[in-house]
Amino acid sequence: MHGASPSDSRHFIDSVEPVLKAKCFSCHGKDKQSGGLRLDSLKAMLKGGDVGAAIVPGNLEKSLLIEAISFKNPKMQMPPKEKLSDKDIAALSLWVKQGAIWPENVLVLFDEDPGFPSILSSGKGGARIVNEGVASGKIAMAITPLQRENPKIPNWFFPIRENPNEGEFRYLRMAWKKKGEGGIMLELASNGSWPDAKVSKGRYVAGPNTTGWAAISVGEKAPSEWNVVTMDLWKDMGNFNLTGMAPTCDKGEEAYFDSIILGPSIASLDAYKVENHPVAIVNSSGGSKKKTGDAFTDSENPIRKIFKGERLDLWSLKAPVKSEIPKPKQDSTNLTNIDRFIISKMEPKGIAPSPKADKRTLIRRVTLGLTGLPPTPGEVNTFLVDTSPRAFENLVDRLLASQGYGEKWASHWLDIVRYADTNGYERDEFKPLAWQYRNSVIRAFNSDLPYDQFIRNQLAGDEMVASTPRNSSDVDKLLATGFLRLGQYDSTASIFQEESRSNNEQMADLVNTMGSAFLGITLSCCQCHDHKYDPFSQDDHYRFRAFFAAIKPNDSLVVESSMDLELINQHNSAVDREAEPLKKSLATLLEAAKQKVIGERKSKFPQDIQVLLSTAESSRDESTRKKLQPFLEKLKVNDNDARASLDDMGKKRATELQKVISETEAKKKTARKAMSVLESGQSAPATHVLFQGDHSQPKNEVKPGFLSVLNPNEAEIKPIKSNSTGRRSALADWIASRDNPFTARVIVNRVWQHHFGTGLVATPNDFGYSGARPTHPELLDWLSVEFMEQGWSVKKLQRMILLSNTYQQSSFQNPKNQVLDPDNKFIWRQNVRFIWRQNVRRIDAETLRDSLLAISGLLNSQYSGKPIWPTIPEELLKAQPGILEAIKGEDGGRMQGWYADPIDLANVRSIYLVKKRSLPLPFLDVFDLPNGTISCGRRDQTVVAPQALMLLNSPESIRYAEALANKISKTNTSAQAGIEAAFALVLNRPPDADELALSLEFIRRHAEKYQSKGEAKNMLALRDFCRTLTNLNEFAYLD
Amino acid sequence: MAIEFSSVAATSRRDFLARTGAGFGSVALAGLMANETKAAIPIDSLKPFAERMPHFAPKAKQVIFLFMYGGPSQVDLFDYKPDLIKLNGAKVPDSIKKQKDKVGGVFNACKDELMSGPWKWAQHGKSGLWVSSLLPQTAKHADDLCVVRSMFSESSNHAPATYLMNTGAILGEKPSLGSWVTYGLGSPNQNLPGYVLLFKVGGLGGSANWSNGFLPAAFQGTHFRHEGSPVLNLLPPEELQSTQRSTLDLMQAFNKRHAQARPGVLDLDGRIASYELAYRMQSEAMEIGELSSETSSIQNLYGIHDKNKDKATFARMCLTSRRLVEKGVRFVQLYNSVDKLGWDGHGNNHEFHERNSAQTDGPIAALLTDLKQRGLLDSTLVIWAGEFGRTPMMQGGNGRNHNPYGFTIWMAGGGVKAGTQIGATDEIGLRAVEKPQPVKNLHATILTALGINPDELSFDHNGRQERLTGVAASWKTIPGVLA
Repeated sequence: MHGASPSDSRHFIDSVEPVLKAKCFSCHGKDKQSGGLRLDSLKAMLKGGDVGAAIVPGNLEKSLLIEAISFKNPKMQMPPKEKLSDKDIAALSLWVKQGAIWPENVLVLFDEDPGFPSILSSGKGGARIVNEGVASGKIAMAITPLQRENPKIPNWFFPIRENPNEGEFRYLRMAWKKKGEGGIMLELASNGSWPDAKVSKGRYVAGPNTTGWAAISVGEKAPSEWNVVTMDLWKDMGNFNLTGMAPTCDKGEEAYFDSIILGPSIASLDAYKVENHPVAIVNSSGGSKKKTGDAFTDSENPIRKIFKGERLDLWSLKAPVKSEIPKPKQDSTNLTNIDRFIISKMEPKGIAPSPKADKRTLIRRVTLGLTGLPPTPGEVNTFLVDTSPRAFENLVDRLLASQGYGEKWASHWLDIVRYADTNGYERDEFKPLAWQYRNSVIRAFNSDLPYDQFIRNQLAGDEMVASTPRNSSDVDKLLATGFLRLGQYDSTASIFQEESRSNNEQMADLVNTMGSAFLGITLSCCQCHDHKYDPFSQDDHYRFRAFFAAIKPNDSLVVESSMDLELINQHNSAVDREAEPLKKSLATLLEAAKQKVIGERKSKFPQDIQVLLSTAESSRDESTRKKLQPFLEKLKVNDNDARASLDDMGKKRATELQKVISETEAKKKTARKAMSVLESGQSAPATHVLFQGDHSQPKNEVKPGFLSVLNPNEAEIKPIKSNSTGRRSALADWIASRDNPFTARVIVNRVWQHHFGTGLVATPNDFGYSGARPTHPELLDWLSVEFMEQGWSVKKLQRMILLSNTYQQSSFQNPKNQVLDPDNKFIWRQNVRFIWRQNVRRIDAETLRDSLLAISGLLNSQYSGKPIWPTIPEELLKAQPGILEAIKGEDGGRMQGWYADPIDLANVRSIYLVKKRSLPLPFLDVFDLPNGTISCGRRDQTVVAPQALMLLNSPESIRYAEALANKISKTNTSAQAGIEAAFALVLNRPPDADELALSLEFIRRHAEKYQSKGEAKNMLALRDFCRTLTNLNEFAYLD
Repeated sequence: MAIEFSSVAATSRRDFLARTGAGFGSVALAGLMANETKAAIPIDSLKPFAERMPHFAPKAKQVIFLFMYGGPSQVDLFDYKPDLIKLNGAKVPDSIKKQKDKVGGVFNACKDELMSGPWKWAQHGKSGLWVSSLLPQTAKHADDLCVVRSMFSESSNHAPATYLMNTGAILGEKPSLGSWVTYGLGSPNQNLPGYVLLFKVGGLGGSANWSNGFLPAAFQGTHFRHEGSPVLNLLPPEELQSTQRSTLDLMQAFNKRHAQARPGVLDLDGRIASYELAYRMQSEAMEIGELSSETSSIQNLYGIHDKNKDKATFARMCLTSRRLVEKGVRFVQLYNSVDKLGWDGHGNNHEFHERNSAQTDGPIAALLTDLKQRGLLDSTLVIWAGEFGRTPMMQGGNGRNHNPYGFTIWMAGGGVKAGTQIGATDEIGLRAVEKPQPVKNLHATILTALGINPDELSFDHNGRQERLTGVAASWKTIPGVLA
């Protein structure tokens, strides 16, 4: 079968292999073998799976593969999701019928590529291309002694195995000859290194070997005419990965090499003909710098080659374009453009939007949605009586301008960048500077920092600030680079020499988070292999990684502006000046005491010693010096000795001075530092693709680059500063660009999602094939372009969404619509959703806790500093090995512990509470706090019993209920007034008659139970009532 | 005053189903599903632990995982190496030193000196299992155990290796074994969490070891305390306990009115149900913690009053785990450590192993005996494993370093071929050389015993079809373990 004619091979290559790759290998290939079957080699097909051989060459009837794809047998239909096209079925059938010719791939290392000699860099010899007297094709290569070497040729990583699978090889064949005397040699590099000089395997020599390196001899004489040799590399060298070669020779005159090929079998080598491989496979890195176009337009684009031109219809790859705003039949001036998109889509189905929600619902919805805090009863009343047409708009503007807005929306962002205050892993040390990143995000939302700038700051803020920051905006640029440091870090890896693994994981984590957060793409999927669904190659993952190749952690970046720094220096000099006379006084006091001690000690020395000591030092001979040595030692008096010799008065004076000096010096200020990164120059270490993502198996080197499907060329990098590569700025520019098809859509979708519960794309971190499609693609694109045109302003985007009728709809059911679209919800992969009402949603963990603090009057809404450590049960602390070590004082100052603050301090908004990876705060954790290790684009909303236990029984919840009751009882004396006040605070509405009656009865019965408590009984009953209200669904859910 | 408070949840749920005619499938999708993720298995948000059919007939129904924290030394417990005894004090053979390992160096910080332990070795039972004199009680169960002596890990560092053993990945972001199992099978008892942890000191690396990862949060492990009220916040402060029901009644009356005005919002029904479940849990879980209701012979069998406080603590955990299994909890995991150290004897291996053996040997043997006499062992898979083993090389005075290259675990009970030994390390007990087994094979074996096909237990997350045994589906069950 290996004698296949080129045309048979072409049929396989053109029509059969692409079908197998696209439709079969994902379940029957290297990674997965459903039914025990692999279809990625002829051998595997003949062997078959659990039910027998997949094909019998020449016999369609007996070939199960053909039976399965033709869907004749209802029990065996492949591919299960969708039948192949008739054309594909015919192609596979023809192939089996003609004998299932499967030309094994040979790999041409060199035959017709004129750029080849340039990749054999370094070495002493020369290499050139010759056009005459070649062994095959049109060119051959001439080598002059000694050798041309490169143990790591870019893109070279060829596994040599005994039984090669696809992409693996065993045999090497080439033609060679030598002019004149001497030997000819081929040296092979394994896994990036040359063989040891003393070891013969890895070198083949014909003729005398004078090189000094051991080699396997394949001929006594070097061939003077072209001679084809075939080496069984596996037999000679075992399993290895070929990464480079050195064709070489000795004794003055040239050697010639041609047609160097690798093959999985001898037969595959035999089948090789130059004309079957007109295009050289190995590209010259030193060749022309011609740019390759995107995969849509350029057939040379690597993505086009890898995926055979498929996968290019992914919706998110095309930049968003504003389409015309549709005109619904029921158009009116009250509608916004968003409404027109939404209504036009459901009108033809007979679905109408819901009426506007009532004002109480609206103010609660928008206040919690924008600030994470409930409206106060006063705010509700103000809004209710405001009958102006701009009442809602004014409300939105007030909320957008409040501090709470940034705090709420920063917390959404922190989920996406998997923010935490600790390192994770065994020690889980506190990162004392991380919170400044958190606050820079809060400030960014509150100041409506344009989103493109927000991205640039996080990826490359340090490259944008020349040296010392000039102003607070520069400071925030530096603080934003904390983004690059938010991942987990295992400080114990070095103890076990696992830095390489750990570094690899950190880099992968950074790239994956960058992809999720800014682009909504799943780069984690192409870390080990080409992406399974999306048109991204494995190289792409590492091309992105290369942008970060030069960064090192830096926790001492000074982030004071130059003016502030000057002020700090001036202040500190003033402190020094203040301390100086005090220090002098102390020094004088101690010096006098020292002299006194010395005098006393001297006087006790033997007379002769005293005499000798009075002589000049230079006049003493060796023996005198020796004799005096022990006495001189005794005359060395330190500050402590001096202090001890002082009388009580002196001691008191010294202590006082010391105290004042310490107090004075404590007034010194230190410059604020940031958690950031450092690059040390304009160059960066090489980035290699890793075989199966394994840090110990580097493959080809890659340069920084973006998604190859859009631009496969190296990114253009312009160093901006002497101590920085400029790589991250180039990446930031590409992401924060109007041309990037993902960036604006991804953030627009996130904002939409937080206002509706579900995004226009239901999978906010996955805009690929395995993610959801947009339910309203035209609206998403229109909003995205509008967003960019309005200067990437998130606040303007918020207004657009919130002022739409779509947002302000009631969440209530409408019997007619319910039948047509019962859930008002996206249905998985079916793309059906109309948004004819708002969705009832649970408030998130932080909003729940912050609301409880707010309504009970406990909230300290002014705090915005370092992470606060609330008190949590000691048994939880002691159950943490890392914390236990710290409790025992055995953590070496690494801050592995839990540093509880007084309870009053802990009444701050939840975003200011510490996020410790190994011990999430129980109160927040139970309400679906994300784990802070991977980007979370949308939180779970689970309903489980431990949440009920927490909200009902925990001391924390009961403390809130108590505080709430206290607050209410201060101004409301009757039970009814108390109930009404509680309803207004907790639910933002008055009770109806039934509720009031039930509540009064509850309070009466509970007060009765507390009869023995005397005066306190009403308070206690009110507390129990508050406990009830704060547990209600109505409190925990938004309409 | 007519407050309706009986079976509020059931009524509203029935109402709901009647109203919409929706079946279980859509109920499942609506509640627990986050939209980044797609549950391959439909989960009923009202009953996340509802029992689900396994893929094939299970050999075991429940699991008790005894996590031996810190890395117990295989060469001092189960992996008898006469050569190591002979070579005590000798240098490490060149042939061993030369080999390259994928994982960071264990020779680092070790002396170039082999060390055998001071304990006696003997064969036990009909199976002739070698057990050292450290574990005399466990040794009596030799014919109940299936010992795998050729496990290897992917990190020589506690947290990553502990994550690997618990979650199948060294990164600490994936769902844990117990989460996967309860996600796949639910749990027989609806009034108790399906996945329970017992520890005084939890695994190195913290809560990621029992995290639900990207699975719904219902499948996170719940920590049961071995003393006092078994679950944090199970009960309100004492003065509120007598009014708990009346508080719930008012709440549920209000909740019901609220839900009736919002038909089709399943989470509201789910939350009403969750409060009722929490209420039922209060009594059922309290009962679990009442060890005094056991006969004194059982209490003494485990040793819950032992003078050795650490042993008594672990004995309470072992007894509690039996009570949990008896009540139909699907997956129970215990950590043996009482401090930050566990079996981690770097400087003083002998003392650490004496201490941890004394703490665990009796209670574990008692657990096996007790499960057996109650007929529970046949349906309960018991696993004994640490995150890695220890080096045969000496570290410090008489210590041993971490050893991810070869270590021993054992399994017993449901589905396990009792009285067998599988795999082997090299002559000094350093590297697994015969039938080496990665951790994912152990996970595949556990899942298979429970009737789960490891490939089919999956969850789509961020574009990947995630599985406990990895996206690449390259596991094998450990040959010879399952009967």
